[in-house]
Amino acid sequence: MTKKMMAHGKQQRERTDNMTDPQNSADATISINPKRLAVILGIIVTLSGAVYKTYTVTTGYLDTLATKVEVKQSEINSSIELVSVTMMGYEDELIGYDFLIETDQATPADRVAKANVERRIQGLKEKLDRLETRSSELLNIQTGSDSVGSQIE
Amino acid sequence: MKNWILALTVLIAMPAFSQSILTDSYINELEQNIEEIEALKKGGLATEREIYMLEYYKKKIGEVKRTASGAAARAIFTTEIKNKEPVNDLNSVAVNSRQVSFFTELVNLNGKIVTHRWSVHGEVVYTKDFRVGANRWRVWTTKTITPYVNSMIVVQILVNGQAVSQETIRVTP
Repeated sequence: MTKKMMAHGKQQRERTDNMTDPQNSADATISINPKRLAVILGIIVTLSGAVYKTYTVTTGYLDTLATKVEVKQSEINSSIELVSVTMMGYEDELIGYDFLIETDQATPADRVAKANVERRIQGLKEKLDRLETRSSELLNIQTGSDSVGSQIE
Repeated sequence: MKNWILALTVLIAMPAFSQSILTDSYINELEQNIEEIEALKKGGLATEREIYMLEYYKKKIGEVKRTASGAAARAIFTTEIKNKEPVNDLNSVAVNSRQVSFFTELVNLNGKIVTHRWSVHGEVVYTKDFRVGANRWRVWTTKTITPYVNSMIVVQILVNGQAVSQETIRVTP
């Protein structure tokens, strides 16, 4: 390691001597610059390759990202699904109570339970309406048009 | 970096997954109910109510499967729309009503273009496109009916240009 450093120092001194000597200065330029140039060019090529690669990876990644509106709509759609499935469960219960009432088998407790289920279904329907309205508002922001509406021809 | 991308992708894809999981689990629940009641029925142990529910579950499972891939959950002719809901469900309409509305509740058709195509005697008399903005989307069109007395009006529902279903109504004098 030390020998290498000494040899390197010696070479540097020789190069400096050559460059300061007006007679040898032309030769010194020819002997040093191609190597340095090659190294510099190599670094530039490597760096530009790395920069290009980073750019393509980043833009490719950004393309896969959803916009804020898309994410919001996706959330709304999930909520719609959740509310719809919950509502279907309550509708099943309601059908059971309806059968009991129609066949005169319902107890007062069944009638109260039916009323509670109906109230819950109504609440969920209102929630669904609100979600639909929110999505409609988002769409209006995005496209400037209203997709829900009456058309008379 | 890769982990970060993966985490974000999962986060974005989560709603889509949870969506099908919810519907699938409901379908699964219905199937289990059907299976249990049929076993009871086989053993002669099913009550009247359970037999009634069995028919209901069978009907319901068909509807849920049909709408899971996108459909019109409701397609109704009505005299009027109030608060985005039809006020009644018509089979026929008197010409003195002057106009009739066709209401649809679209399920799981988010992002698609849905069309209401009105025809009389095979001739298209009115077409309106809607861009569906959520997994539950209600749209309607209204048409004057005065020229179509004693005719059948057909309204087709098209999804991205493909006819998926149709409803008819008679205009009476």
